[in-house]
Amino acid sequence: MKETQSVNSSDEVVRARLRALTCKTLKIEPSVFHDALGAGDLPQWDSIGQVTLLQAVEADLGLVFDVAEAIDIETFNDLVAAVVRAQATAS
Amino acid sequence: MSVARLEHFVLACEDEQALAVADERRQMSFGQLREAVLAVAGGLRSLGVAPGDRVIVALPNTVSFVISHFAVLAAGGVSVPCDPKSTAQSVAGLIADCQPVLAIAEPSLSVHFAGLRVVVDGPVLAAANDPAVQNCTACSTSTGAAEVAGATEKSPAELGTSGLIAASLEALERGPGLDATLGDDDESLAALMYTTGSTGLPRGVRLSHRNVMAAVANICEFVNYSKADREVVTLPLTHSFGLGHLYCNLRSGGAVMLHNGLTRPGRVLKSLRDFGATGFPGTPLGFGLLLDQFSSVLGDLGKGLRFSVINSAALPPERTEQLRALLPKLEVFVYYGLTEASRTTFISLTKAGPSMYRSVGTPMKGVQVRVVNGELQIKAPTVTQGYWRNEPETAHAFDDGWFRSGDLGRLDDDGHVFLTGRLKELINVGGYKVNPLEVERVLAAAAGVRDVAVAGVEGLGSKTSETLVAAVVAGEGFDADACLRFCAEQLEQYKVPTRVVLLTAIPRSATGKVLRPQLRTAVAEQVKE
Repeated sequence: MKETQSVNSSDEVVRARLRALTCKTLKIEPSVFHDALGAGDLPQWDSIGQVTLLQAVEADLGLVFDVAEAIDIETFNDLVAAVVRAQATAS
Repeated sequence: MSVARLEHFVLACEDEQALAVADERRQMSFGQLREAVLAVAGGLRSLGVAPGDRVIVALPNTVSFVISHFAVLAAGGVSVPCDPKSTAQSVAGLIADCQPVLAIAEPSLSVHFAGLRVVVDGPVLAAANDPAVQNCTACSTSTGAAEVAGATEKSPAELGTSGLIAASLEALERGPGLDATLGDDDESLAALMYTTGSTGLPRGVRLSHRNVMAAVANICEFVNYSKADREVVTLPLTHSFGLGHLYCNLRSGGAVMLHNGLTRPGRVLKSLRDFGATGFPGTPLGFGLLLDQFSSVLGDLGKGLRFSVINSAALPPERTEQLRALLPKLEVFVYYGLTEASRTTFISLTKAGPSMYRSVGTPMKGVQVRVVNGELQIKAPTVTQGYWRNEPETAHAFDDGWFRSGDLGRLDDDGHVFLTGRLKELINVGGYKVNPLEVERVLAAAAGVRDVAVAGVEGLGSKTSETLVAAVVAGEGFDADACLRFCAEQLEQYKVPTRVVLLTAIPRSATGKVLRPQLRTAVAEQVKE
């Protein structure tokens, strides 16, 4: 139980950090942002924006996405899940 | 198959069972597509669309776009493809210019079509007080307006602030259709394809059925399209590049899988495998993105590809090498063309070899190319008759019957064309042509901007695309981020500069015209810093 709470808490930290990073990278007004957003939902979140975002996340968090996994990241929630998985693998 | 007009690609199909078109939601055989096209064409006629009438088709890359586009043609109308991501301002300019009788659009876009009847691709409320809707056979059937609707009347005020929703596309698809009579009028207009004119205002390129048929026949022969071909098309069907690939496949009995760009690359790459794609057209920017980021996946899932047609900007030779190394069976085609003169030259870089990697090919059958004062000029059955109700632009575009491309180039002894530069001021952003005047007009109204000009800078962020940079002479209250947000509210995303540099003065001539070469130099220096 303790472990689950710890993971959830960690997820929330990652989620908050990624929210800020996504808004900054894609120039999204925080008031417009919500976690269900994904590539194609906003004009600036196009194919270039998506790649730019993935690169920004890799640089900011010091991780490298597996290419086969990166192509399936479509939404912010996907991104959070991928980061959590990547961090778990790294640790 | 005897085909004189574009809709015959669908109406005169030989194999009704063969798959014609698919998107992520649905797919249709040629027989199903023909029935849907005829049904929607019947609905459009009932809604008042007469031969020669313009109908805007503002839909993303979907089966619905394909049905709508060909239905407009089958009804005798003129299709006006419109990027569904267009701003209200752009749509208003297009409406003012082509004066359409109807638009076919997604429900969310209907707000852009004030005062115009709209067929929506999605759930709608119908306006039962519209006489045309009441007279629409499809709309008055049990599968029509009543169902479309929940038929709620709208007040005149409501109708004035958004498009008058006449029917749903789905209902029209189920309505009674036109007879599949194949006319032979190939001189009439098929489409108005909008581009940015020399003044930054939109202009409609008039393309007759004969213009497009000539280009499509040339491409099909050169690329050797057959009914065994299947292409994954991510290019917008609202532009001639993407639409051309739809035509080629349907004419050849092949099939197309539609996606909306490369925003979700996993789906696109997987459909190369799952759809059994033999063709995958794209831009240098798109292929650059895939090669740089997802090369291993492209190599794995794209190994069934027979060919790729690449256009919209020069393909750097190193990209050709990368593609050939990654996908040895792939034949890489490049062509040169404009909306006004589709597919003027073509080349297989694979067959021509590295010495020709910088060429855009030799003229297609029936196409003549000459160089006058460095400018490429074109005469061909594929060339537009001119711009829609725009005599000044039309007169300016032609030199004694030759279309002035605005591109600088040269021909070698074997007739290979090499592009060397541009006379026109358009900036190529990932294949989208941006007129700096249009962007500058918007930026000039932003807070704190005393003077502004826009330049395209190469090698900034992308190896294969120019990046839009705004050069601003800042006054009191200027804020770069706010300035770009202001711009983003009024222009399509690809027209929004990605960077702002500050200059003390914009280089201008004595008459106030921006000196573009000097501006590019000044901006490039600032960007380096």
